[in-house]
Amino acid sequence: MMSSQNEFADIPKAAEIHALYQQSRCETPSPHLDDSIRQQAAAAISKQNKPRRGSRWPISLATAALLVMGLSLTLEQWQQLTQKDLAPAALSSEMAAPRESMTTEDRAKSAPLVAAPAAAPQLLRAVPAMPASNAVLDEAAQSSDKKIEKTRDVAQDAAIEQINALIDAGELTQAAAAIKLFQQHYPDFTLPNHWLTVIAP
Amino acid sequence: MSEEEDEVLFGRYRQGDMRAFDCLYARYRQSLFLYLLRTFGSRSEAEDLYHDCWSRVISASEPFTQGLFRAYLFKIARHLSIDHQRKQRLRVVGSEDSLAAEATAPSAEKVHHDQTCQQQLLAAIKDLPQLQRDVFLLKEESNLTLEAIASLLAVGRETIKSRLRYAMQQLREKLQECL
Repeated sequence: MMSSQNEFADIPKAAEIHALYQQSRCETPSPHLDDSIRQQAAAAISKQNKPRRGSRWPISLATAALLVMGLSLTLEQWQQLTQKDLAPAALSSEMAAPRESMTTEDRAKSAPLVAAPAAAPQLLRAVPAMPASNAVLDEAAQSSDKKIEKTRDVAQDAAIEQINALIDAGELTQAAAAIKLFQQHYPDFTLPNHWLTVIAP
Repeated sequence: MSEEEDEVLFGRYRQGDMRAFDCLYARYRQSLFLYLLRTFGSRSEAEDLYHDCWSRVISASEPFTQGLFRAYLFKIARHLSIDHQRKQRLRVVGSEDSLAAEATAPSAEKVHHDQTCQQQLLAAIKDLPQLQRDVFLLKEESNLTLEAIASLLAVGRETIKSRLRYAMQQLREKLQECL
């Protein structure tokens, strides 16, 4: 792509004009200008070689996503904790509900069951009230949501405590009856040895 | 490195090799400057545009995808010249006369014959119509072929040759004593 004078050979005196022009080529840019351009070129390179800071939107997005995730997890945990705290109360209210339709005698019988975990001596009177808790347990079994499931767990724990209290108190007949009732409601529950001894013929 | 092609050197410079830029700069330092100086006749204007031209080359995010670096460089210079001339016409009417006068002030008593001829040549170049002067200066300074100049100016090869022929004719007429 270099120009050659052959291209202009047909133009008269082209070579002479070219030679004369070449003689006149003596001006150059000032050294100050050279330095300025060189510095600019070096600065452009150093700027280019620096690690590029990518756009910040992915970081912002990630931070926002983390925040949302963290908040939702915290909220979920808080809800679970609240449900756990409310579950015994729900159980109490559920167990208390049938009492409204009970007779005074029935209420008296079922009363210790509601407060079962709290006072062991009262539990001794609770065995006859087991059918009352059956209604609650049946209700709980019919429901499939988590809340009811948790309620069921709490009711199971309370029943276990009652049975143990009866055994400890030496009320073995009542304890055996309670255990049998318990087995009906919780067939998957593995009975402990000291319960088996009680129900053994 | 000095024998490497311009395009290779420019690629190296873009990758951070400053020596490649130095080499490239040295190659076109004088020719680019003279192209601008002969176009305007004023050293200060030529230096401003020369600086702008290299700045464009340095800061270009997309330097050039194909063709010759030389053609790319002179294309930038030409565009800058055209822009500058447009602004100049808007600012000062009749500035061409003063520019020509600057170049056509040979003190015949003090300079030798050759120098006088050179001055006359520069003055004659200055007097050329812009399109003819552009072609002449591009031919002399960029060392591009007629095809490359035609491509740069977006005209046909024969148009370039025609303009050059007219330019030479005028120069011959004004330099009769020297040629």
